Amino acid sequence: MQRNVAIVGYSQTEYSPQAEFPRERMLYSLVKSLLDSLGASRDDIGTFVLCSNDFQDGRTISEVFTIPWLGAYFKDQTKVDLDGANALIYGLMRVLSGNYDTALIVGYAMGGSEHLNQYIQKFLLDPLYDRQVGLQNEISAAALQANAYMHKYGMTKQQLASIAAKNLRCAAKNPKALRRLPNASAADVLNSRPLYSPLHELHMYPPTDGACAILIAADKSVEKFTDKPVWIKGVACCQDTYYLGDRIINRCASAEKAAQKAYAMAGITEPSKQINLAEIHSLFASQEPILAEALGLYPEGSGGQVVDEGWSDLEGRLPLNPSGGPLGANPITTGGLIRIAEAAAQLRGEAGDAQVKNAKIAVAHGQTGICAQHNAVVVLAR
Amino acid sequence: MSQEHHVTETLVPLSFEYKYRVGQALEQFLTALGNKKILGIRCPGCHRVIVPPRQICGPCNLEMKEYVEVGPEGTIENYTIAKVVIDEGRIEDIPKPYVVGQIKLDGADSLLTAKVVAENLESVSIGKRVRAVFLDAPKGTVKDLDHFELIG
Repeated sequence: MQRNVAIVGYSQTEYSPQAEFPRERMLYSLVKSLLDSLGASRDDIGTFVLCSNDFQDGRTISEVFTIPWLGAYFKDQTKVDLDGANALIYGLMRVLSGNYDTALIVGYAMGGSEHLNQYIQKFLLDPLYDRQVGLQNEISAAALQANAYMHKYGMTKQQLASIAAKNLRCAAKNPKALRRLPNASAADVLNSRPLYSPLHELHMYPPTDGACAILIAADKSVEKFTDKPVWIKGVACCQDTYYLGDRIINRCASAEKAAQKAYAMAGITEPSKQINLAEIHSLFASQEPILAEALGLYPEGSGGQVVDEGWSDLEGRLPLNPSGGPLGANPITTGGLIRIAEAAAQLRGEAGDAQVKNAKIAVAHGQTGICAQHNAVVVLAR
Repeated sequence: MSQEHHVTETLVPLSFEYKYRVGQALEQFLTALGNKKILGIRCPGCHRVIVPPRQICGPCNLEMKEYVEVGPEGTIENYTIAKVVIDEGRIEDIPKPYVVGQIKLDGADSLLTAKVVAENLESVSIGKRVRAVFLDAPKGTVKDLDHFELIG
């Protein structure tokens, strides 16, 4: 990369099914707390990259109302309407251009309180066929993806439920998570409300209100903010076709391609050996092994064995989602940005009860679309 | 901020209709459904047959023009059993679960998502053969292909 760019600060709201504050208030407090903690002000921010979704927000050009609250008034500002991980990549590019030394990336969604989550998710679908037929939706598609993986690689329902339980136990160690179940077991997951087989309610992310902000800085600006920078070493994104029937859904080729590019940029040649932890934007427990394999962290089809052996646990050989991941909380469009913040927290030794020992290199991932159609990968190092 | 609570909410309705032109490929497909036939389209580059037909092959970035009839029989490649329906955003339990399958129609290379009807859900599995069942009086809409039934 032309410049050395680091995450110099991050802040998250507590995640909730129904925030008690309007989103503008939430964003003001989020950015203020981040800047205060760094001894910085909005004058220190070169460019703002915001991330929100107009359908989610119920208003077009959704950022126009949040600008004053974020401190972006009369500043250089732009918006991304994919996942927050894409917003971070966009912010990085603006800093790499040399025109800005810092970028503040902010994502938010009120997916818990402001509307029925699945009502909005319907608008992910092709309007001409899938929405007309009425069979495919975010959950049924994820169920087909889960079944395709389990059928091909022999992962059992028990193992799939164990992946969810592992995430929910991890989420219990994350004070900001919404769904926190310290004693979650596979049985609890299998006893939760059935949706589309093999998925139950606890296999899926909970509709969430919340926001996340990350400040990045380049070269000499870094030390103005922190003595614990987390360097952005490699980034990439890639998109598959929308059409499920045209994809091999028991794998995730677009995440694999994005990971290969991000690793090449970061000089990672053996991800499963060099990377110490991963924060993966798996909206359903079944996506965790599929995406972890696409990211080269575990061998193809090993999802059942990985969870049985505890390799993906907090104390395991390569922990996946030590924060609890999206099963603990997931504001739509912000999930990937949160994964990046959680990975940065790990590398700075700030992950509290969920701290992975001696973490030096992490990979974070964000997705958009049905069955992870679009994937963004970010490699971080301390 | 922890002292501050905002309890007043305002409901803001958002409801409007979009009109899309379906394009030539889907128009051909719908017209064929009205005659109880299922159309796919062949890519001149990779020679795969895609159902429902689309005008552009994604991997090859080529325009497809060769329509071919596929099915009406095929094979279940993947499926899920729906225990709920999503109605205007609400996830509602349903008394009678049903099967959403991914069907590989004979002569096609892509999978079609469709309902599979079977007296006993246990009899549905990957690899089972199915046949398309159309509405008695098809109208040239996606609903004409009502479901697939198990055969053999």
